[in-house]
Amino acid sequence: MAENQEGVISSLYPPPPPYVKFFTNENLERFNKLQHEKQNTDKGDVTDEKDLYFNDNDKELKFLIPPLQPKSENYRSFEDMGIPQLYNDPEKESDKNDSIVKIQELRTLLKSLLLNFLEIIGVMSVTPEEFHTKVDQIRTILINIHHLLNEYRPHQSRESLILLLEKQIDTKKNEIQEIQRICDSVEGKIKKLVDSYVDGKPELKVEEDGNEEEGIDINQETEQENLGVTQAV
Amino acid sequence: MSDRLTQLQICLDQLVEQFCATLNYVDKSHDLLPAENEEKLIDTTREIPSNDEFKSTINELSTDLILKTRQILTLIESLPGANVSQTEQLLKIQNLQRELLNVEQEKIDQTKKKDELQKFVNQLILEFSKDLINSK
Repeated sequence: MAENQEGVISSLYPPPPPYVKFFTNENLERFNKLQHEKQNTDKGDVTDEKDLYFNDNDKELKFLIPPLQPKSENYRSFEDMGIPQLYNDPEKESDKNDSIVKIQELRTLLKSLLLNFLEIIGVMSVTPEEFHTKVDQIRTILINIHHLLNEYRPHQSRESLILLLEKQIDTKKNEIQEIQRICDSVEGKIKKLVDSYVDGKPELKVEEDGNEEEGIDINQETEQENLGVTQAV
Repeated sequence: MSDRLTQLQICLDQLVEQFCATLNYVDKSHDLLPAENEEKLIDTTREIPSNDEFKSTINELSTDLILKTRQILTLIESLPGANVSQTEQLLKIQNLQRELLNVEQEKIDQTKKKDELQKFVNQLILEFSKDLINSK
């Protein structure tokens, strides 16, 4: 059981809960019908709806009833689950050290995990029947480590978001630079042309050649610009 | 590639698997020792590796365990944003967001400029070619 849970935790996204299969159209229809009947026949004081509503044939329908809202605002803690919390909670005021504390605790937990493994080997060779206490301890340590790691996730997400934003800004800046560079070069070429046309001797032949070349060049460049823009969009 | 936390969790699972494998190997392959004044029992139902072989495998398995632990430690050390607080992160995100908007605006302006230049160049080319045709 514990191993199974850990397997689920370690995948990037957990699989959907198994009861999604029960949410078929037929079941939904039947559920609505039953609920309707129930409301008509029964008036009030049903405490545990799940057991009263449905007979054995309708077990699947139990999953269609949304769970009750939690009474307190706290998420279940280690104590509720009967698992001791092995690490210290970072102090609320100094959130600067939050992640540092967590990393230190992780390191400590990992070392005690190794130590416990050594101990279990020792226990197995001397009093094998005592193994379950050690296994329980190892399980507790592992659950603690996983919990600590998952608590670190929001921190990591924020960090990745920062990286992502920085990357976007960088790409955009590069694009701007590239557009500017090409605009400048086109402007420069036109200026040169105008200068040579106005100041220089307007020999038709030379100018023609120059023009044609410029024309091709500019077309290529505008094409490049367009490409750059469409890529950016 | 998955993120470091997931990597860490996968590594932990692997470590636990290695624990199991190591225990299993010791359990399956250890030799029997005679108690006092007894003859040494030989279990014929299983194959027991020679002493050297057993030792070297145990060595290998322990080295693997140590290596895996080191990997995990390295990953822990390199968890992102270790010395940054949440408020600092959020502040940075806000600043970056603003900067991104500015850069986006700048890009739009620049693109407009570029479009105008392109129009101008097109016009220029058209005029030149008209002139050329007329002059011929």
